[in-house]
Amino acid sequence: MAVKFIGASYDFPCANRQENYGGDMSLYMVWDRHLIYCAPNAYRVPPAMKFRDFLEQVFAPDYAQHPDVKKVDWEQGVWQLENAPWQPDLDKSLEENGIAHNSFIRVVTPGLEGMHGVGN
Amino acid sequence: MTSQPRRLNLSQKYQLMTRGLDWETSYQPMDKVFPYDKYEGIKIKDWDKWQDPFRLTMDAYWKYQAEKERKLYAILDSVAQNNGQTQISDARYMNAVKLWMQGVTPLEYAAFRGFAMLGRGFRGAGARVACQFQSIDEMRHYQTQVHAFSLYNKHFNGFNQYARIRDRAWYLSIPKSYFEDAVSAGPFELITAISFSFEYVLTNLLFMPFVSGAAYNGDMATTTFGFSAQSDESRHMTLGLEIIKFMLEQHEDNLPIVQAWLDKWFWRGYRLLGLVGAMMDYMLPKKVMSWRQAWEIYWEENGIALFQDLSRYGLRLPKHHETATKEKYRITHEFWSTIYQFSHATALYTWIPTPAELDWLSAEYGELFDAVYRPRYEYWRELDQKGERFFQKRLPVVCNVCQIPIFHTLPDDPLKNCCLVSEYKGTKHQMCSQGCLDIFNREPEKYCQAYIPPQQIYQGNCGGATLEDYKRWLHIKEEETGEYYGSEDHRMWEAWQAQAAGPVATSEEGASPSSS
Repeated sequence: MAVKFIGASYDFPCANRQENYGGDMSLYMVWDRHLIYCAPNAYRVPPAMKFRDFLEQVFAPDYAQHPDVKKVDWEQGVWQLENAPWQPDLDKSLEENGIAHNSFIRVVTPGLEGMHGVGN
Repeated sequence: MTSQPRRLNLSQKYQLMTRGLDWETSYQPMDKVFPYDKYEGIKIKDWDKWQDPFRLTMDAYWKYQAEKERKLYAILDSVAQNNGQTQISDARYMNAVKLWMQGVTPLEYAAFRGFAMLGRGFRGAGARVACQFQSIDEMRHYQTQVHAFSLYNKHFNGFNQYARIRDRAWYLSIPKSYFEDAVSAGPFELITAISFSFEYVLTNLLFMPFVSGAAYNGDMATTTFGFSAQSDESRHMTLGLEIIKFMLEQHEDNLPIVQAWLDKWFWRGYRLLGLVGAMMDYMLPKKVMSWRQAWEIYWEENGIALFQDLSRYGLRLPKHHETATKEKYRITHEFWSTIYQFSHATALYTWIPTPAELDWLSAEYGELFDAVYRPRYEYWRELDQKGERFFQKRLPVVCNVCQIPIFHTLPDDPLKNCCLVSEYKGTKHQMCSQGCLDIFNREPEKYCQAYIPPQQIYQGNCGGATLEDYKRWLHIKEEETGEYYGSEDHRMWEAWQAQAAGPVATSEEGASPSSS
């Protein structure tokens, strides 16, 4: 079902399209079972950034107040891209890993299940 | 002898105003005079079948409203003269009023505009007149709320930028987008969204807890405007039910259209009310009832009974209502956790509930609260005591439909965020739930245009690249944000309490507190 409208056409560009990011892209990621950080995080990143650099220099510092962050080994991560199983190469760029504008990444780190036994 | 002119009774006056004064245009076709009331596909065979149970006329309307205004302003004056701001239960309560002022009061103004459009847009005079009255009501509610809260603005932070932040703040785009979605639809969808879904089905979850919460927490200004608005609200609710019945009775083709709107607006309304639920459970120092209990009474009992009643028209319960019911044990804690960690970017204060309040939440929410949210709050309290008050520094993903940060969890797994994706015109869009995903997929042309604050911040449209730039752009000052304990409001409240308790140290006249 499509929107009903008055006039000849109803055609507008997406507000969050990649061309609005000046060569960068938007990227979303959540570290599952660490829910004291309430929602997946949003980033503006260059597509050529190495995935490992993103994880270690950008993503992990955002979880600084979680005790698990000091123990994390991203090599052990179980990954999903757009909610489907996915195996990234940490030493390749975001782009080379198939991460696109507005991609959504989930990671679970076995053994690091958050606090209180419930993923806090 | 001349006879006295016969006085018309109310029903005759109403009949003349809504039928007698209306006419079929002949110089211009009716479809050009009323160009917007057919394109949604709603078929009306006979507008004269419209029944307004209140049969309100202009003279009666002005008389009733003027009486209410006189009483309201007399009481507001006396609240101000008696330092009503010192009579509230606790200064934390004032954050519920700030949230109302920032989030809901502007909706009254938006509703005024929406109903003014409807008061012109429908070709049936009965419906037009009812919408014109409601339009004036909504303007009155907007004004009386601004006047009632102006007393608090003299003393507390968080009120002064309400109009600007309504357009700019991430958490206020939630209520704003609800109304803008409605007013950018056609007239029948607008009235279904506001009058039925919001005012008839869900108002008990919005207006009642707020006004009774105000009364219970000693806020006489809010209580008074609440009572003043109450008779209007009952008229608005009746309009909501009338429009649904009218559409369904007029033509069988209307049923699937109305059903789709009810599916959409139930879910949008439910998502919006999560904010009210967090207010009920966390911002009221004296509790009225928990969100869970309110949901059980006002939705699971009353709401479902209403839909059973409407099933004779072929309507079924709105999609995903079971999910909403599953979420009743978690939604307000997830929302409070979110506001708590992002309150450095709001004109609100947040805090960890007191031990007695945690016990009340345990009693109301049971096992899940004790397992997940209580230890979370206790951890945050520990951090705060170490001087490391927990704030999230990174922007969150926000749902492209309800515009709420995607803190929501999977219906059957409260420990895992739900984040669903839909691709449209080559761009991926994230949604918080199946309910919002369905809404997006039904009209992706509409929602792909949504102005989502974190997306706009990263695109460079909100004052700069950092959170500090964004706050400057909001015109929110540092001292208006973040942790309640130690805040300006808190320190002022403590000073008032000390002044009330002990012998007054200075010779300042009266008990008038200082807000310096």
